Amino acid sequence: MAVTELIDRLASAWRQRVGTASRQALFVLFLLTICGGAHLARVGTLPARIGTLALVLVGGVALIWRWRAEHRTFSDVSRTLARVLLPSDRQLGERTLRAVRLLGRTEHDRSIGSAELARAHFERLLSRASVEAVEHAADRRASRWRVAMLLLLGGIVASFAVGPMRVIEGLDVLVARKGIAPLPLAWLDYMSVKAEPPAYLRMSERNLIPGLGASLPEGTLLTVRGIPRRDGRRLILTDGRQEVPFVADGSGGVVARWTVEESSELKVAARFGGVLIEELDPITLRSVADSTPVVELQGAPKTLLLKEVESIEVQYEATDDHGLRQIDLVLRAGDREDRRTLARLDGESTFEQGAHVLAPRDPWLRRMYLPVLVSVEARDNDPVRGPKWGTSEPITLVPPVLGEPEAARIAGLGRARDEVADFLAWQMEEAKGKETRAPGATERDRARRAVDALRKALDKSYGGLTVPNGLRAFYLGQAQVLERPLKAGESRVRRTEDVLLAIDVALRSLSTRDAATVSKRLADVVEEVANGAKQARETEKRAIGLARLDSAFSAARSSALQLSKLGMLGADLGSVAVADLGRVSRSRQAEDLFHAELAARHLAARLRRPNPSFGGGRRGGVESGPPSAKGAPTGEPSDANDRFDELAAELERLVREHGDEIGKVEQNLAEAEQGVSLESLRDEAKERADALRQALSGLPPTSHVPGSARSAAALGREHGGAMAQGLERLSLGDAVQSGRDALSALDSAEKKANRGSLRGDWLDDADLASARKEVRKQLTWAEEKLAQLKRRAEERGSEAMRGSGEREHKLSRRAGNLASRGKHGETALPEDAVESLDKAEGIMREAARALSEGKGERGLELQREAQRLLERSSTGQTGDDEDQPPNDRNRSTPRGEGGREIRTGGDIPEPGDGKNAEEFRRRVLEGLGKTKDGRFGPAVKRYAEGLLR
Amino acid sequence: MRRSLGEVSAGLARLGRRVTVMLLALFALVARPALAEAPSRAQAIADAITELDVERARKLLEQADAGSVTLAFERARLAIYLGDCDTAAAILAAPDFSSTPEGSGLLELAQSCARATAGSVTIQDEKAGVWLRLQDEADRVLSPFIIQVAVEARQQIEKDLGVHLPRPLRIDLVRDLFSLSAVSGLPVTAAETTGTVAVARWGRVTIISPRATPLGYPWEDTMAHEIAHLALSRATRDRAPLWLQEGVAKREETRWRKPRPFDAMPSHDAVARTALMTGRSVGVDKLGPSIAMLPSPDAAATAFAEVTSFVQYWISENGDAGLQLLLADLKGIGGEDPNAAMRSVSGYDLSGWILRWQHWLLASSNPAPADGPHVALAPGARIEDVTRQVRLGDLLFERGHSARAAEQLGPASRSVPTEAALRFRASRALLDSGAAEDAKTVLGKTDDVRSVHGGWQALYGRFRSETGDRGSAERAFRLGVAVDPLAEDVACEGYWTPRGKATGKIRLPDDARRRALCQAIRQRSQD
Repeated sequence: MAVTELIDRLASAWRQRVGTASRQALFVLFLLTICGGAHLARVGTLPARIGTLALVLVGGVALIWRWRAEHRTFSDVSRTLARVLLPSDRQLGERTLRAVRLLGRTEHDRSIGSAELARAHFERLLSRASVEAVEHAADRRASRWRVAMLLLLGGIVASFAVGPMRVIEGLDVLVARKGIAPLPLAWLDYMSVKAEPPAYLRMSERNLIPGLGASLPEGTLLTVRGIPRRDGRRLILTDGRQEVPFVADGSGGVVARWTVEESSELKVAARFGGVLIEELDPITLRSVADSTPVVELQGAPKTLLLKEVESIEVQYEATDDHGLRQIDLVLRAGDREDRRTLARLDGESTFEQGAHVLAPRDPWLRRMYLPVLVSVEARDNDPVRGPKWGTSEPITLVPPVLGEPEAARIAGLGRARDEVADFLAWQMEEAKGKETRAPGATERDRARRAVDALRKALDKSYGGLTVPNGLRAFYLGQAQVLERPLKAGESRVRRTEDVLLAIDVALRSLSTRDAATVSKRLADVVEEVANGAKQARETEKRAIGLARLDSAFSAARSSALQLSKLGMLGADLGSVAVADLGRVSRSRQAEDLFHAELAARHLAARLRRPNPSFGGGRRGGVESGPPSAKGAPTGEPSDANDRFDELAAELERLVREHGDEIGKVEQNLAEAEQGVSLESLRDEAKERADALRQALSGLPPTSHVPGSARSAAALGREHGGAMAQGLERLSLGDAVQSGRDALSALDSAEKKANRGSLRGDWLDDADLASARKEVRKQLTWAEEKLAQLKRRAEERGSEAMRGSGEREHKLSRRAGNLASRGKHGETALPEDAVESLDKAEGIMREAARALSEGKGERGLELQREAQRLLERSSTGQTGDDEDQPPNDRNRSTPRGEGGREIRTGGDIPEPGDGKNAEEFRRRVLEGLGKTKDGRFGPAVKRYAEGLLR
Repeated sequence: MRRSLGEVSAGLARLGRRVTVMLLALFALVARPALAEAPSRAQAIADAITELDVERARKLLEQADAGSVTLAFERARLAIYLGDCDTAAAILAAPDFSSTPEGSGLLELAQSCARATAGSVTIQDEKAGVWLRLQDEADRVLSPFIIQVAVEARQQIEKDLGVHLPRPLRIDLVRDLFSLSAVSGLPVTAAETTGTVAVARWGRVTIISPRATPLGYPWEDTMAHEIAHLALSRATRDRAPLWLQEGVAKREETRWRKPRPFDAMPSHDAVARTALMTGRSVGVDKLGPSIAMLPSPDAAATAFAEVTSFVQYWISENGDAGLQLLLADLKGIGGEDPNAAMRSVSGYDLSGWILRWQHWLLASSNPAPADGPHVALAPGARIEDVTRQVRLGDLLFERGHSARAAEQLGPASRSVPTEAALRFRASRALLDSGAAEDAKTVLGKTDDVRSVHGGWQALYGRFRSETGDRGSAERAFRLGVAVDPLAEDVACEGYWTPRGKATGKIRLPDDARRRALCQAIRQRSQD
């Protein structure tokens, strides 16, 4: 056998036995590394995962190294012989290895010996090697490897025995990327998902199927339940950013709750340190946000010039997907804002519409000098993200230049005065020498033209500003004087002069008042200039400050020019304002904001003190030489307005005192009635009340259908009940009133029942007829007893009534006297006022007579009628403000909020009666608006606005 | 030349004294304590400021310790004297001052002054030596008139009082009483009560623009009056008693110019005599802190008449030189009591001079003022009718009904024939309606009226000019401007913009300054 062949056989015998066993053992070791590492990796922390990976790598490297070492060993003769022979026959092996080395040396160095001899020596030794012995040694070695392999296999089994899924989870965690394991695993059995929308939406809850998408309102609460497949896992619900842990639900399951805030994909997952192993099926959610309310303002966007409108109608519609809470009218000008609540709602209504009327004379608007953006804003009821305001497109109100309406009013009235002056000039020329003659047709025509001009000026609105009531009445009285027939011996030129002077004096007085008012308001604008300069200078908001300064400056300059048109005081103050604004402007142009602010502050302080520049127009008296009475004599050329004001004040006093007198008569009558004993009627009244209640018992107590017959019958029953109560308490007046109301309601019920238009609106005819009959019967009795009561009361109170009659008579004389003075020249009242006063006087005389005769009820009725006429005739004074109604001073009762008095009584003006109708409308709105804080306030206001429109 | 022993010994003695004085002076120079320097320097600065010597004050302050509170206060004062209220307010805003009454009072003034003068227009005429600050730029058109008056008045006052006023003379022309108060510190209510139109304080004349009063006021004489106050402050270091201040200032009101009609109407002596006899005398030595603080315009007028009469009497007795001596003495005595100076100059104290003056007044034959400050009605006339006719006339005139206006204004002017304003109105209406001759008749002559009225003077000047009497016309135009320069009738030399539907030629004055004034007024009324 050749040497080589023998070596191969020996090597093969070794490798076949030991090589296979060792490879298998090492492979099992590698597997064990992986399984053990999986447990370590499951911890999920980075060190654990790195450690595991290192172990596995080491195992793999060892396998490769082993393979390479084997390959190298068996490709070299001496290593092969050392591996194979030494374990089987150590001595032979060592001698053989020495022979191999000798052979090698002799091949390179002949001096050592013959190579052939060395080869022969090697072959002889090798030939002594036994294949069997090698096989035997290999078998022993292989056996040891197999034992080791078995031990390692035991380890693998043990690692799986702890929990096979733990190894899988560990391996999953080991290979996770970006914190997410690649292999999804099922975590929950019987998983259920319930969605509960926010309570304010009033929607029912629903179940979701994982894997299928769902659209849910924002704020919906998701409840995910299930039974964990494996214990000991830290289960969570996550959208990838937030996590909610599952907690035990007390019945073997786990639960997690999730509030939907945005669209997302929710997953159940288990957390292993920094790694998540997710569930297979995600819960896909689309969040539906509560949308912002949408508000539409009719006509918006648009721009209105305040001076050209009589009123601004704000009609709006507000919608929201879930519900509205509040609707506000918002006025913004520059950085100022005014919010007025139009409606407070319960959050259930998704649609609201309404209207509001804004007057150009609104105090807030009047103070503004920058464009005002009027919008309606609606707030929804979203508790999740907080209430959201939806805003309509704005209506832009461009306010008149501050003082422009006042200047226009003065100019308008001034033109009317000029017409009278022109008429006087014409009359002086035409009537020379024949001044006491009756005017001819031409003169009457010219007088009418002057009067028309005056009336036109009085009726006109100047940028929403009208002529104050008192002044208007005064002017109308003067106009009347100009047209009335001449008295005997009266000079018509003189009369026109009187009228012209009266108009002029009142006009100058108005212009002075207006100048003072506008000056103070202008001071606010100028203060804004100063504040803008300060802001630009001292804060980082320089651009905003400069814009504030410039816009306020522009408004102030325009206003100053308007102020200059308001009579002498206005011209003076306006000139001061223009001068000082010049200082502001110069400083501004020089970028010297400090001095711009200083100059503006000085001007603002000056305008808040709207006195003439120099001591009321006097001439210098000190430091200037002797004072002299230069110019025309001082004093007003007409005191007609003073006399008119005296008359108006007396009239107001009369109205007040007459009102007090009515109160006294009412009190006397009430006291007299209380003094009459009704005890004898008590038993009978109680029986009647019982009978009435019995008769009403067949009627329906309530109805849920407004406008139905049953509803009317229920109302009749309520009134009837009140009547029964009145009877029991012997309050006959109340009982009679309730009885009449009950009868009216029952009549209405009968009519509606006969029509039978509403489904289910049925009534028992017999019950209804019985109730009506009983009410009528008891009402007749109560009326009769009430009349007896009043007769007896009048008899008892006749003495007090006679006193009232005397006072009423005196008051009627005063009314007559005022009417007479009202017809006279300088204290002329408007025609309708005189007419009302005349009528009032007559009725007051009648009332006085009735009271003197002891007819208290009749007298009181007449007094009330007279009071209405007196109030109508009351004009107010020439110095009253535009917004100040007549009789606003010193009225005693009743009083409204804040001590302001409420006017009662009065007639409703015809729709065509322009200004009066508008004023009436405003008063009604104001009155109704008093309840604005109440629950029904906005609704009442809307209703009233609808009615009045 | 030989000198005697006595001379030598005397010379040695003189030398010895000189050496002693020099040594003492050297010691004083070297050893003067640092603490003693500040008060004396502060006083020197304060005096320099009071005497309006702002340049000296500035130099002294530059040499002084910048950290001294006292000197800082003087720096603030100086800033106010220079019209630089911003700087004064900035200095006084320090807590050292705001916590003291003097400091907070001056701070308040500085701040209100800064607000009132911020952004004003300043005109500095180096040649004339006048610094003019205008609160209302529209008053720029008045500046040539103001500067001319200031220069002429200053020249005369310097001559009369023997004092030189430093240049520039500072004038603040303010728009109203509110600003006058803000700049001067005079309470606005006091100014309103007495009708103050100007104040000489803080080294400046603060004067109200004629624009502030509807009919103007004699602003030229007022300017002279206030300059006289400044000169007196400088001459006496502000130690002149009030009667002397006001009496001399009143005297100087008219001395800077040629006499004009109505200068002595009513006579100060007559008013003082009447007041003395009727018990309405205020008293030369009982003026209180200021005439502007007296309770009423009538009391102020009486007080002015009394001090003017008294000072004129005193000067007539002691001469101008006596006055200059008195001022110098007052500056030197260093106290508030002027009696020592009075006695030293004139032999009597104030009480003595008041007694002498009162005797003189009572012995004089000065008639009582003809009609006092009230209008003199013609027999049978009623003031109510006059008021009525004037207003009707004005209304008709403004509508262009000149003839009808004249019908109203004619009777009114006849009811009060001495009232220039009524004669002017009636004449203007007649002239406007084409009745030129009647207009001249109604306007009358200077002797027919009792007081100066700008419109009357302008119309009178126009009539004189039309007759070729250019001198009289010019005097009348100047007098009109001296009273009411911003009235169109006055500035435009008796011509006005046609009213109502009337049209006519709008004439402009030949005089360049009045032409500019006229054009400015017409332009402003069109705006």
